[in-house]
Amino acid sequence: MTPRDREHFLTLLDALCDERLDEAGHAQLEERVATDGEARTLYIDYLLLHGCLHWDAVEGGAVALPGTLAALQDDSALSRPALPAPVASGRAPGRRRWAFAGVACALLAACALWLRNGEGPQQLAGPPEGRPEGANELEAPPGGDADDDSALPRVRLRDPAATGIASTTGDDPAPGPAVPRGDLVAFIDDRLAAAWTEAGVQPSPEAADSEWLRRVHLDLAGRIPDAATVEAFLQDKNPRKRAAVVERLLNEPTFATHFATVWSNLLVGRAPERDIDRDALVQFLRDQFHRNRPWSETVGELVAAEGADHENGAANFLLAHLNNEAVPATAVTFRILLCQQVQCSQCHVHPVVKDWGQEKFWQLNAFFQQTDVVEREGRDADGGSRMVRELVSRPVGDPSYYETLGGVMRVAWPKFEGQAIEEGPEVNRRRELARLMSSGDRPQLAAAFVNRLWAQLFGRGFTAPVDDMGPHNPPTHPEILDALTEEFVQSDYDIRALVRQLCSTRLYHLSSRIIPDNEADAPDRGERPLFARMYVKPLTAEQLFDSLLATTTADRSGVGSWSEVVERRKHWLSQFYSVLDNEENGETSTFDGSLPQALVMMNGELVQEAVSGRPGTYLNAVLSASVSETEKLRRLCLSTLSREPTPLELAAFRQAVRQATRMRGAAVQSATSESLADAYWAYLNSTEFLVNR
Amino acid sequence: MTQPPATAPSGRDGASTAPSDDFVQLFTRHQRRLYLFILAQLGRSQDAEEALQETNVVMLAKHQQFVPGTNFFAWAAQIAHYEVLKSRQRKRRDRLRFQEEFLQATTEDVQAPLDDLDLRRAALRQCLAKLRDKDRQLIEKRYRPGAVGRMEAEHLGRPANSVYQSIGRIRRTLLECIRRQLAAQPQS
Repeated sequence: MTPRDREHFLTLLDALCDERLDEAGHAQLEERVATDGEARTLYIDYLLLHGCLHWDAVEGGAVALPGTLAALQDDSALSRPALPAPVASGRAPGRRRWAFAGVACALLAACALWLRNGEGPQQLAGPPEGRPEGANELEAPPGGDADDDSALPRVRLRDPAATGIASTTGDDPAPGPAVPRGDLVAFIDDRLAAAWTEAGVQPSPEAADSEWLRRVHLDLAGRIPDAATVEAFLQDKNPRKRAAVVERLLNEPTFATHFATVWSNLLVGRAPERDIDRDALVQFLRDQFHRNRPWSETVGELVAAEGADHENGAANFLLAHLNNEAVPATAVTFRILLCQQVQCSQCHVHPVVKDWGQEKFWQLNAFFQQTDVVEREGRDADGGSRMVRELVSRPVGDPSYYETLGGVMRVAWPKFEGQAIEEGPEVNRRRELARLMSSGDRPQLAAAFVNRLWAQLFGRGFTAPVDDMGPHNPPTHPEILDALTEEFVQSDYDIRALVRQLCSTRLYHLSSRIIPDNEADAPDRGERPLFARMYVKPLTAEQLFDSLLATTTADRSGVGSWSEVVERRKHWLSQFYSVLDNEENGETSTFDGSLPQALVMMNGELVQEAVSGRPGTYLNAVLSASVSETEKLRRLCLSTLSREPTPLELAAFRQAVRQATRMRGAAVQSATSESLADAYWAYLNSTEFLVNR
Repeated sequence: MTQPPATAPSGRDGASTAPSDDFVQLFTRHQRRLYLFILAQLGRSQDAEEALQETNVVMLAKHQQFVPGTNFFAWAAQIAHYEVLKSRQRKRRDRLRFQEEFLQATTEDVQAPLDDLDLRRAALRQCLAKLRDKDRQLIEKRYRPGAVGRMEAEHLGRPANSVYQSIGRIRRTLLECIRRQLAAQPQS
């Protein structure tokens, strides 16, 4: 080849790579390659270069050169597809099992496609029945231990982070949380690492960007990110992009909404039957979180609230629990706000903590014995009449009376952690309680909030159960709990600052994937949690609903206004929860991965709407985009699981399309659309969608 | 009723036919190599990705035919080659499709370079690091996920032709750099 020939040939190669080659050029290129050995070598070298750039960039999920470089550097990142190594939270699965489960997972998805591809009503009924069958492959804890009712889902997930995503590897040039790290964060990292060393475990590698982004959205916004957010984040090459996301999410209204949801569920439960203005309570909490009011203030307003249900949202907490001599109010105040379980000492001395006698319970109870719930006729928003309930404090309160096991009647006056209050007409007992709860340099109120937030973000509290703190149940990492509590109090109960700190820890950026070196970190088996990886958290019902809306935009096709969406969410949730008539005003839920939940996911209106492809749905937008079918599947996967589809999934998808065209003679176009809808359905019903890892 | 339709491929028959852990690992590890193998024959990355997916379907369905201990890539490449031929057939009307002789020639000649793939990737890594920042950013934009060859030049605020020229220039720089690096390596 003369230099001129070579130059011309390279121009052809460029056009080929950039998809600008015309017919004549194509013929020239082909002729050259076929007849000239030198040109052929050049062609191959050039195409391999082009292919590597293409593959590694796509694979890296990040255009950032560090990503590309890391992908090239790391031999474990040999391919874009995810190794189907699952996130396992079950019992010591061997590697073989993981891989198998990953395949089984893909096959289940494929199976679901075929089942739904059937023609008759018979096949339409397939998925619900087919699922348990597949679920065995997926979910049965190894060893056949079926009664493991751990709160964590029994999942075997495909893990997109297993390979291919460059930033998963420890030698990524810019690893770790790029959040300003105060001393406290360094201290937490250090203490956790010390515990790992002591127990002889290794932390899991850093979470891939896609895994982390989905996690932080679920944790701080209560829903998954949409596909556009995922793509923008994966392409963002700012090394501090994770910190930027945390900051953005902290300042979005969804943060306040999500935390208000979490706390109203804790305070009054989800069941709609209670005779309170639940919306007003949510509104009150949202406002407090939005303005980042100190947690001690929020609790004070809840405990000392006066007034009518719709006028003072905070009042609804006690309106819900002052029944039955304020026994529920006492138990809930202890358990929810202080993470102490003293309800048993209502009748007898605490079985383990002998210091917690009956008087502890009844002395707190006595704080509520100055308050009446008054019912009066009032007006609702539309001018109709309704019963208004109101908290009213009397000038003078009563003591609490209780009976010991020996049948002796005792009297208790208000006392909190040994501190009595003055009695008199000027004294409002509940205001005194609010003051006492946040006094001292390490109030239990602060430790309880820290413990709950830790559990909310990391899947396990410092104690198990999270709401059973006390001398009988020492925390797993007392020094971390103490340091965080101290900081929380010193910051005047600054919730956002606390969240920011926890999101800056190394732990928050670890993958949830189990590695052989931390299989021993198995809180599911009752071991003390070591936090050597991110534990997988099941989605709450609200997270699931909001995520379904986020991914499907089904709301936009069905109903209009935001308030309608809220109503719809309430209605949707109501199918899972009902009130229990017990002394703690508890409630029962079927939102626990059981059959009713599965049925709502598989056949429920919302999911049906989402996969209908009607105008306004996300699926409709994807189907009508003029991109390849692989790209369409990719978008569906990004929007549901915040990651790229695996080759196994792509293969299953293609097989389904082929099945539809060959076996049923469907037209390619409609078979593709149908299969995309089915794949979408399978993604929405995958275990991976149902958890926050 | 819980049985899948009779037409369901053999792949889902249950535990006995699920690919082994080793198989899945090999399968996964060879994706890049297969993609490049196919790309050399088809020329266009989108076609290559499609053919790769078809190949994957077949490999999974026929995983039992693979004899452990034998050369996985050789086995996979046979399937891939067949899928490439099928892809050509499907695109019979496509004017931009290579002739069969072309396929034969490239199939043979691409094998040796693929054996050096790790070296090539290492070289590419070093060469990328040597690029000027501006050039590297352009290449990143061109190869960002989801990007297609026909770049939307307006995104870069430059005439399309000049963008293509720049990318071509940078790619050639990389090519020469890689070739120099490979030449400096002791022959394997």
